[in-house]
Amino acid sequence: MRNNVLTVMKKECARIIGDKKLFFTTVLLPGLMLFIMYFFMGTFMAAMFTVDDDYMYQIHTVNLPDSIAEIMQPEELRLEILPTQPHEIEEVKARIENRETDVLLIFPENFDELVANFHRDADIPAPNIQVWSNMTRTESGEAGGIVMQLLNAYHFELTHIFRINAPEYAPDGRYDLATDADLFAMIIGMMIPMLFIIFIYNGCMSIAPESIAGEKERGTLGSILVTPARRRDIALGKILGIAVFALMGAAVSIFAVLLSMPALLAGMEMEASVWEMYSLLDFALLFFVAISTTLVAVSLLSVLSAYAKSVKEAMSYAAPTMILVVLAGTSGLIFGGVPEGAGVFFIPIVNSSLSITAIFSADAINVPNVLITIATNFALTVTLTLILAKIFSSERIIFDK
Amino acid sequence: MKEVLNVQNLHKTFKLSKKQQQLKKLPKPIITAVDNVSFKSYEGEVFGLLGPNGAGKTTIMRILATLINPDSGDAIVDGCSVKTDAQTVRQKVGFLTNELKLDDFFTPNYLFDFFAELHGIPKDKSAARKQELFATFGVDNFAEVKVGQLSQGMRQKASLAVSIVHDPKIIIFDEPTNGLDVITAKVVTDFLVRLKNEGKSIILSTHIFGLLENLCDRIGIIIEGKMVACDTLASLARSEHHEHARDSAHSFKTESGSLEKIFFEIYEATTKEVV
Ligand SMILES: Nc1ncnc2c1ncn2[C@@H]1O[C@H](COP(=O)(O)OP(=O)(O)OP(=O)(O)O)[C@@H](O)[C@H]1O
Ligand SMILES: [Mg+2]
Repeated sequence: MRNNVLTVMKKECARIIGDKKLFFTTVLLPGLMLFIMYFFMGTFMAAMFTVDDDYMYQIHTVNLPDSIAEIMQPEELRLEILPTQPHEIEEVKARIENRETDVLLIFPENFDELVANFHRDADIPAPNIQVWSNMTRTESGEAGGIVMQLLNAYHFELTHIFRINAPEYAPDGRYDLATDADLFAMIIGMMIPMLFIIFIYNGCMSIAPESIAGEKERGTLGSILVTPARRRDIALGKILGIAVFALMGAAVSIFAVLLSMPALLAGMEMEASVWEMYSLLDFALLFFVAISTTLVAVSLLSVLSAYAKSVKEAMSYAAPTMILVVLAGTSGLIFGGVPEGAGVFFIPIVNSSLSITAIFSADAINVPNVLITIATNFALTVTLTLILAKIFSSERIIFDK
Repeated sequence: MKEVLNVQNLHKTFKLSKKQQQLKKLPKPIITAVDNVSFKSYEGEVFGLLGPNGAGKTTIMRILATLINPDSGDAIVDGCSVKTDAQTVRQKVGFLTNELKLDDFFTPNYLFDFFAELHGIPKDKSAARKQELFATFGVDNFAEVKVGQLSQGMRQKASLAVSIVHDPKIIIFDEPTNGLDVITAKVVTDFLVRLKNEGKSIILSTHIFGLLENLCDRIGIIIEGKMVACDTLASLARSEHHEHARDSAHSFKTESGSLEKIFFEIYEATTKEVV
């Protein structure tokens, strides 16, 4: 009677769908949390590190020479020059410190003249320009940078000794060879596996104890065990039923991550497209890793729950495993990257974490290792299902006093 | 009469934790719940199990319902061993006890279909049976209400209907009226009478003497895991058990002996305790 698996599974599903709270916490909440976290992280960073397009930087200047005034003029630089008297210096500095205004530029009197008459061999130091800014105010930091660039360029123009990173060698103006995509992949490759695995596991934790220990506690499991349905079918039906929703939760999580990525990319001022960064193979592997990980989590928590007498007890068994799962989720960091060897890919959860890191990172993935991960996880699920069936056949399951 | 149940030298022990051992003041961390029990029951018969708390009645019934395994001995249910053919035994037996409950989150309607499927009953057959059972128990009125929202009596009715979804040949009732109010208890006793009239074989355990006297064809008395007497009410009342009842034999009024009296006689004789 194979269809008993289906019957038990259907009831498990009906139970979760019928309980809006349970459905929300297992299926929607993880994804929602991921989305909110990444989306706001992105927008927050964007807000923190970018300046409005029409913002005029406030540049307070003391003794601004004509030469510099000229190069600061172009409209696209958006520099608003505010001539300042020497006795106002302290006041302006205080305002910069309080993040109220952007930059204070102090030139010596007759700057142009001093520069023109300066001799390298003479004992007097070269004339100095003071550029005061405050990097904790985004606008001030940006304006400081712009002013420094202008002054540096002017300095080179005057001296003509050497140049650095002249535009003709890198037509797009970029000398940093890391692509935005690489950088992004590195950052999320470290962040995503942990959150992803924690949320999947957390989703399972909200159903498995309820579904197994809860039925024991409420005395409804015995009613199923007196029917001729095979224990193995009941165990498999339960695990699959729980897994359907845990998987839906995982799918929502993946979707949420993808949805929030553009915001995250924008926040980090990166130009990269998620769709260009990852191939169909990446998504396919991610899909199977997610499924197999979910099945491991569900069957593991189901077996744990079967040993508990109540939902509360099951939760207390599950809680310590969460710590291990969090640790496993950071495997990428612990190992300092994804190991080349196949060995660690036989360790459940750790293998999922590393596989997800590998999939998201920009380096070429070692497909066999990911396949080992998926195979190991499926094998473990089968074993745990048989163990659960064994527990169901044992009398302790319902009458352990 | 055809034999439907043959219990042979059934033996069951449980391992106890240190705490349980101390609580029961036992010398060893092991308790013999069922001690070499044998009895037979026949088609269409209502067989009663009577005994004090902890005597082992529930344990015997759980073995018959294949929820637990005996250490030794066997029970043959309609030709099938509970040890080697549990799967078939489950098809033949219906088990009703207030330890097994219906899921609060589902309606009687859903649960009936669910259990019918697990028993492998074809859809059309189970639909007809549902209609019939729901009508007789009046479950129709609340078939679409979740069990959690039903009153105790409604729940009991739904439980009864679901427990015989597969039309079992043998029905086992473990203290079916325990903890029920008189109205709900009546639902159960009426059901028992109905099944008896239908010619089902019933194994019943209860502490209510009246129920046993009215319904049972034969009664087994269990004390401390042992079956100390097993016969028809009339035979029990005759002086066959006098070997147990030594001293009190002379004062034992066989003619008017109610089950209650017989039980206490046997109990005192067996345990040497005065009740
Ligand atoms: N799973 C178990 N673990 C340990 N001891 C058990 C277990 N099940 C039953 N027992 C013990 O076995 C003995 C017989 O119990 P059982 O429940 O069969 O008695 P009973 O006749 O049904 O009693 P009652 O009238 O109270 O229902 C008791 O001492 C009980 O404590
Ligand atoms: Mg009992």
